[in-house]
Amino acid sequence: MVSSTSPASSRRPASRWGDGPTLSRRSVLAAAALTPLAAALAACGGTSTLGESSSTRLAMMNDNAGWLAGYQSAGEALQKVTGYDFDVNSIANNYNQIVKMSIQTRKIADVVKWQSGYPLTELVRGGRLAELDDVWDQAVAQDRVDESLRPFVSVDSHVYGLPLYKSHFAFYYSKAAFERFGLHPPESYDDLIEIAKTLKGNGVTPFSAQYTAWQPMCWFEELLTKTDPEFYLALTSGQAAYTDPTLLDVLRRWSELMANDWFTALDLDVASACGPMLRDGTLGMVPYGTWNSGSFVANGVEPGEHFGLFNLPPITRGVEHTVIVESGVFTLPRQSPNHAAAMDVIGEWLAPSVQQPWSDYLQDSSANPNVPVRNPAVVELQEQLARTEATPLQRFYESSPPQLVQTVLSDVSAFMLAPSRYREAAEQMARHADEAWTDWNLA
Amino acid sequence: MTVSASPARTAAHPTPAGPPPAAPHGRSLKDRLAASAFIGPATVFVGLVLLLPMVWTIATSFTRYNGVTMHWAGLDNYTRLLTDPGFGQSLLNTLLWSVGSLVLPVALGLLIAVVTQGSRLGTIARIAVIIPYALSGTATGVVYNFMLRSDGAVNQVLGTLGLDPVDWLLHWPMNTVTMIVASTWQATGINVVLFMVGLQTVPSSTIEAARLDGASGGKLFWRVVFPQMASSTIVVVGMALANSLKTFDLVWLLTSGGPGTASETLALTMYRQTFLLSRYGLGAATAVVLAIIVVAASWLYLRRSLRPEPA
Repeated sequence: MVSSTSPASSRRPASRWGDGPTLSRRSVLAAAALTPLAAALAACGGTSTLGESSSTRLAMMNDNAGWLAGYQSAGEALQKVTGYDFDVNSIANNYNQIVKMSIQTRKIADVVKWQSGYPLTELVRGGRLAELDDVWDQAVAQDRVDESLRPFVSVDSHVYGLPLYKSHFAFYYSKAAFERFGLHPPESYDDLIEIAKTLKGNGVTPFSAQYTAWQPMCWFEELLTKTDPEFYLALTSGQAAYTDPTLLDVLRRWSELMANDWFTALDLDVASACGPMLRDGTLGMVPYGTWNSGSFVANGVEPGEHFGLFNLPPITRGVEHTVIVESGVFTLPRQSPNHAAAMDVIGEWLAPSVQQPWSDYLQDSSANPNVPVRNPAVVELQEQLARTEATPLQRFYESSPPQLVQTVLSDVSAFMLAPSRYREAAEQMARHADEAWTDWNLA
Repeated sequence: MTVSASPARTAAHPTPAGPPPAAPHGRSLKDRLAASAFIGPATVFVGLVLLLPMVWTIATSFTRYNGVTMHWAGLDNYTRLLTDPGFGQSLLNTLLWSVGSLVLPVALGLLIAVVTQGSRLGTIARIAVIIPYALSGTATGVVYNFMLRSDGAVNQVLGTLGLDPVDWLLHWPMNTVTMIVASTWQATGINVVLFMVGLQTVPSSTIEAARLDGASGGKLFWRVVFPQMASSTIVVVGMALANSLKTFDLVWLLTSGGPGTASETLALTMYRQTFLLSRYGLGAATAVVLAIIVVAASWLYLRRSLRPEPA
């Protein structure tokens, strides 16, 4: 701000920076006082970065910055079909909270990446998401989506999300270790135990497990669903208790596996530590999401050459084959700035010409069953799933209220470090599950 | 430290030749408006960024709010918090952090300041201790994660020496003790600086007088020097106390409060309830309890330390 030429200022000595306009104290103070106000007004009136769309680009909120190149590839294909592509805004921290807050305003992106199952229900309860029944029906009519995914993306029989991908949770296995000792992917749980014994006897660590964040879920849901899939469904929907003998049996079995010293240290990073161990044949198997293939490749561990994938066979004899499925979803906020255009774009998301570059980038299965996956390890898994007619089950993370999932997984994490105290762990899980269901039902 | 209210502090600009200061009630409207213009922006700023969020947090602590729907919950959140065994563990860990932060960084800071004072090599030693303070807690966490995980640098060194690896971060209370030691590495530097300032304020004449009276070594330090560093000690201990009660970043990066919630501090409990579990009401109640503890601990400590000198 330029000062006024007051008599007081004219008497001042010339500034050592020259004789140009000088700042009076009053001007500086006024500017200082007005700056926060101006900033606040600008923030209130300006365009939010969450909802910044242009005439041909739709703002999209996403929590995985690592997928930017994939979104760009799919976006280019989308633009050829619809005239629109994505302007991706990746938010790594507190994504859920930011979406929940911003979706209540008009400062929301046109398309929001979210989770299926209960987290989706949580957003729908707030009345802020648009129904996608027509989009879904059209995709089914065009044979662009697996109808079996509908329950995962529906709330009260209406569709609110379109699948982003279709990942599975399975066991990565070391080609080097299996070939060295003449092993093959197990056809039964007994086979798995024999494989583990052989590997351990030859100095190879049979399994990896991680105790942080959501990762305890990998073993927890595998052992649970392969022991009793019906019980898994009852447990996750609140119809069975965490102190049920079936769950105690699962935890006891897991504690016995750990007592055999068959696991890596529980704080090893999967991609950078376990991946190279698989490649080198010093680690036998890693239960994890198939979407992790790309991270293994980034660490020099190639699908087909260094690792394969298999689905864990049933533990209880006579129980059907099941597989854990995960699918993130695209949702459309009711108040999105370019709602009609966003609906058009979402309508073409599952088109083969869009899904092929997206699947190639992820190195994982598309939600469109007619889009071939080029990752040989995932192909191997898909062949096994087709051969065994494995029933898809939604993964634990989306199968119960978010508060229950977080607290129970925290308890599972504690159990992994004190496996002999599995009864106490189950009681703790039951207490936290009761609290979470109460919260959920009161919300 | 003892503080006496000197006449010079209470007198309003005693200028012998100038006119007496005007009484507040005698100020003109113009003066009042001018004064308001000066303090107004600061008052509005503090109100918006400090007081309003505080009132909002207290109000939220009486609700059941998941970020989408909000219901009145009365005292439910506080009842739930105080009956949760995890909250007791969180309080215990916060207490461990407070004791550990008072004992290790403060004692080490004092020791290093005293030992290195006046020595040329001491300057190098002090710089080595102070530099970690310039690092953020996050950077410190990343470094220690690299060092302390099962396949980390420390265990690799132990392995080359033929020793068994140690689960530094996997079990409580080992993980909490390890993290307090890691925190000491970073927190000691500022204490050294503050104690150095305190040492420089001790008049050399006092020390000379004590020496003439036969004091030396430990007796000279504890009876003469240390009492005169009271102002520095109050600041150092006060900061260590408040910071330890707010411990978050290092624990979040190294164990995320785990296994389970075994190494959680109150600040982590607040974060987990709010941002991971979307229990904003319970998170707000934790924040209120934590704020009460921090204010009460600081007030009790400072009230005792800044007790006025008896007349």
